[in-house]
Amino acid sequence: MENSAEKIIVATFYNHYGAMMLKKALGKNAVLRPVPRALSSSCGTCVFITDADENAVRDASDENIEAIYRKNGDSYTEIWKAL
Amino acid sequence: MSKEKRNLIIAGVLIGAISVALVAFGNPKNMGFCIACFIRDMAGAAKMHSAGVVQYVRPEIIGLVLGAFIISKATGEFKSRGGSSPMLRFLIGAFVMIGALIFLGCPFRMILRLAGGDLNALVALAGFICGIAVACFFLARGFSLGKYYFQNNIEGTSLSAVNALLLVLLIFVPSVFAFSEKGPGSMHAAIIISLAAGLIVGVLAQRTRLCMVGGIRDIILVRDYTLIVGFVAIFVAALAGNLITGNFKLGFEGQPVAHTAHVWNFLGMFVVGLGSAMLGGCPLRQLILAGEGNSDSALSVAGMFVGAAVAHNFKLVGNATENGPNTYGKVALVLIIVILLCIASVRTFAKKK
Repeated sequence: MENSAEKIIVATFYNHYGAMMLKKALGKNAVLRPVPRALSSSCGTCVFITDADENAVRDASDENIEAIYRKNGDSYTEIWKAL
Repeated sequence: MSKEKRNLIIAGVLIGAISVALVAFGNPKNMGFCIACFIRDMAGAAKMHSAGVVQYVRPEIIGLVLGAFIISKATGEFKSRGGSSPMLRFLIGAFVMIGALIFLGCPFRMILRLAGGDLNALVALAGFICGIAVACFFLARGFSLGKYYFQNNIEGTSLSAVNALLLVLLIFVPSVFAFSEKGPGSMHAAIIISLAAGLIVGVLAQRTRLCMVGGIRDIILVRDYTLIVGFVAIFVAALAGNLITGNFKLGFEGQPVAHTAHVWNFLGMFVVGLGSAMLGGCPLRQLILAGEGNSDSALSVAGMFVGAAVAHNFKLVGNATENGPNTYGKVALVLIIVILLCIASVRTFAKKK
């Protein structure tokens, strides 16, 4: 799942349910995880997604999506934010 | 092992050791830290309630908030934010406090009581886990207290400023407060030691996101065992410390600042688990988030402060000498469970489009 050669996108949400719904919409390519410490000092649930682009993630998410990041090894680049 | 887990273990061990040390320096037994007890003591010191044995301005609380404030400012993580159901958070904070005072401890002290051999805390732990599990039922079906918004920095700094003011008053004009002459409120480490302990734990908790509720919630919701590691590390370190200092005593009876009313220990911490998971973190975590600029958490803390006063003024608390809460406390706790379930249901099911 975390093979660095793969393109991994991380989506964070305002609530757990939003993350769950995205996982449901994307199926096998998505995994629910606690938000990594490197991303945030708050401790919600996020979704790790392989083989998907930012737009697909946004389209599949509800209004509770907070931000989208691209994972590069141990660091994360913000590519979209709600606020 | 991930870096996050490693850091949580280091922080947990340090926090467990500091907790034991605070008892050696004068805090009540199994109460190196207790967020609920300490906020209650501060409410007493501010004369919000008149329970003479639990009045003291606890520098540990001031340190926790300021430690999180300072480190989050230094690392750029301080963000003034809020506006996510502030009144509900205030109420739930008050409910969590009443539940904790019926058990006689927040989740943090529950671990410290367990590490001291107090088996009543094991009964409470079962209630705590059940409460979090019920909250997870709602979280998985859409429960949320709503989005936060970014706010002016003054909003997010307010609770830290209040705590800084309390520290100044405690040091320079202590006569404005009421202080216990006997009982748990009269037992405390020196101000400088308590403050330093609070600051260190505040920094560690902010860096690691340590949370007594989050660990159990993550296991239930996403099968992740990262946050629980901090919880376990505190327990192991405090257990070792208690065995070394001779403060370990296994059993239900005669435990320090505790009672053996099992049903009410269970239900008290059920409320703390349910309410805290609805708030998104245990009382310790609320203090840390408030220090980081989260005004929603600051309101939960304000709710806890008022809840403590209500709990003592209306005699709802668990009584160590009379073995548990009286009828008022029991009725209040059952009502609180009903109200929390109503709030959770409405916020889960009523707003679906």
